Amino acid sequence: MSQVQRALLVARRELRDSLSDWRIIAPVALLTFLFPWVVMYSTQFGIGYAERYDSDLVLSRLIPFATMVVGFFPVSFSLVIALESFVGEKERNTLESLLSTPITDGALYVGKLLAALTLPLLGSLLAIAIFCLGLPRVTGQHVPLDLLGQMVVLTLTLTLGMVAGAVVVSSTTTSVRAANLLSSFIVMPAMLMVSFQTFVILMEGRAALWCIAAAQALADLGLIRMGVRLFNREELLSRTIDRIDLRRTWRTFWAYIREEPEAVLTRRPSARLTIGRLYRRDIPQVLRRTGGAMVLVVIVLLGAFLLGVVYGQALPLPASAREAMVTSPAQLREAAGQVPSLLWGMHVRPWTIFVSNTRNLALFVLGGLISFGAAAVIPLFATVGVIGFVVGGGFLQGMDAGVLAALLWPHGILELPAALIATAAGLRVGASILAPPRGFSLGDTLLHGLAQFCKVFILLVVPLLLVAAFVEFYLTPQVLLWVVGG
Amino acid sequence: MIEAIHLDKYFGDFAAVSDVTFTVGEGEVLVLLGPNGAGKTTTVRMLAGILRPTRGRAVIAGRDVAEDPIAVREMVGLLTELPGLYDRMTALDYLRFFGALQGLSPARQQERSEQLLRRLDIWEARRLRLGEYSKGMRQKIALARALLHEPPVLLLDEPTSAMDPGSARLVREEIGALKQAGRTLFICTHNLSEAEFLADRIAIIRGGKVIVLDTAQRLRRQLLGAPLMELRLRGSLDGILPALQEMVQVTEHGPTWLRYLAPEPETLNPRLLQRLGALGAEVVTLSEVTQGLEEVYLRIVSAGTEALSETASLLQRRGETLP
Repeated sequence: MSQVQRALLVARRELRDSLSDWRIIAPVALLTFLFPWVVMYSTQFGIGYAERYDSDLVLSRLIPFATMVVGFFPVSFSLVIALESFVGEKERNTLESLLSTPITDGALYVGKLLAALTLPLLGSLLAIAIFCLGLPRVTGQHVPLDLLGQMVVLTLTLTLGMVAGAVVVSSTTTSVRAANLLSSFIVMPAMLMVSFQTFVILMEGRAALWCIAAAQALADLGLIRMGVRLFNREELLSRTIDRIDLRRTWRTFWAYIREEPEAVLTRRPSARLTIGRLYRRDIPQVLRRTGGAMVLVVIVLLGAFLLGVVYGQALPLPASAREAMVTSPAQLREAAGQVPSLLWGMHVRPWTIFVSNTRNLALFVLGGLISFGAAAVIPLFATVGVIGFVVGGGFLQGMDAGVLAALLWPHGILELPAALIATAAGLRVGASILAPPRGFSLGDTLLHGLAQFCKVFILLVVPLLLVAAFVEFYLTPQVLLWVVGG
Repeated sequence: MIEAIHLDKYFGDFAAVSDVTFTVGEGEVLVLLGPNGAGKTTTVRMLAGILRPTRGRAVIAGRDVAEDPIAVREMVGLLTELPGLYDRMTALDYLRFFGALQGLSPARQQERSEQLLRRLDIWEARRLRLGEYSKGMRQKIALARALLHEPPVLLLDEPTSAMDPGSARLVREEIGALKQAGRTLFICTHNLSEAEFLADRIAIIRGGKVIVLDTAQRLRRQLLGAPLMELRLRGSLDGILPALQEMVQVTEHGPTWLRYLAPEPETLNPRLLQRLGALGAEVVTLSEVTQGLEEVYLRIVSAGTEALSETASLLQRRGETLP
């Protein structure tokens, strides 16, 4: 028997189990067969109301919104079914007997995923179909085919994300109660996505819905990859109780600081902790492991820069702002000469620049921990985008390339690598939970990533940012003056 | 058939099983005894190819549990500590489902399910949902699940727990039949008399380490000393006792009975009976005063760490244990 057949066997059994439980069937049936009619008559009421004003304007928003709502409600049950299927089985002690059969972890995961997806997704698609077929009768309006396609894709990607997220939650908990408590980490992003879709529909940006679907699909892939790594026999059977153990957390974190990064992963002993070892061995190891993330960050930053340039040229600054821009050498000389005193007047000191840069990078890396590392890229993406915008707009105003280089490079030559390293390391930490190393739990993976990030951040990024802040304050204005001949 | 070589299992920095070594031959029954949390279930899970050993290796019928876990799971029948049944399924559906997962054909699933349900005396309840079953019946279904694909190796975690005496006897007989059929059995239990009844050899595990491993009889001798014999005569001991005290170490006596230590009962007892005959004494009974496995077990598991290591090292010096 192949693993695909085993996966289907598991899916069929679980589906039969769900179908025999009225607590699941009753609400899904109500939301599938009754709710579309409620929405249809609500839409009819909405259309009647809209006709008094500007019916086209309202209709173009109301029908997509109603279709989305009809599709979303039945899939909300996928979360309950998935939690029940994954962590419920663990709690009822039925999982071990399943794990003792020749089914692989992957096949078991797929079988359970299929079982959790099938019923809510069928319900949702059926509800959308009822809505699409009934709407012309009730209101005389039709759901356009392209909108229907969009809604189906959005529903599919959202459901998959919720179920894949439920697997991740289930794999790290031991009871349905604990999983329910943690499920807000799935419900809240899902609600945010639905709210965002609503906003896009109201703004009539239907094309952007495809981008949302693509983003959801990417997140799904990430969650599925993470779930496949976490849903394994070792992880499922080694966890027996959910409790906070701060002492153990700290001990583990400190052990990861004390050991060389690669020694931890290969479970080999490492040399004694010294500052010399950290610079000679630990930081090069971390930078090597961050290589892929660094390439990705550079590509993203190039994209941000180009996007900034394009927008800078496409959206010229208003006349008042253009007049305020300093482009002539005389203006620049005057402005550059004023920089230190201006900054002193604004209570800006090298220390302020340093603290601001360090804090922003550190905070966004922390945000990256709950966004697969995406948040870690935001500050640098925004900064480089703004630079691109200024460059794009500046060249339109006849800005000199040498002046621009003088404005950016003296401190940028230190600040940019520091930010690049911190961003890439942050991205690596956040993304590491997508594929924890073998034998590492989710928590241990995060702690290991954080420990390595701390080494690089404290020993490499912080000193670079400190020197860059002083250069920015004292040297950059002088270089600018020298360039413009002041 | 089962070979565990220096098995270690760590969960984080906690050593659940540490340096466990043993072998179980074809058709042999090894019973693992130990208090809760001693590492019994973790050992079983490693042998079943569910958990990977952190160090060391385990081989089941020639297949390494870490390198070929799927093949191992095909050859092993596991009765889990808790039955863990799907309450909404009927017994027949449940067994067919697991039969299918084990790769049995639909006809074979049906045949084996029926066979086992009849043999374990739950055929009449086959159409009931498992949620309606009593604890003992649930345990029987779990056992049937483990036996379904006729595996050559059976790992049974508490096979008769929660069963009434009749059902427990039925299961013990089933285990006996499996042994007769040449199956290799590895059984974890708290039931000491059951262990003594079923086991060819007994291992006692504590703190993740196997402390002793031997036959029940030898364990008793090693840990409790020479067997204690009780002799009852028709007449009085008067006049006979001094002559007997020359031959054996008498521990206590009454007017017509005495108890003595017999380090080598096989040679000592026939000589003693001959002497009694010569003295004209009529023997009513000569029997061993049973010192149960419970005594051995409690002595090991309730010993402090120092006492425990003393016991273990003493036995190892005497070369009488395998671990």
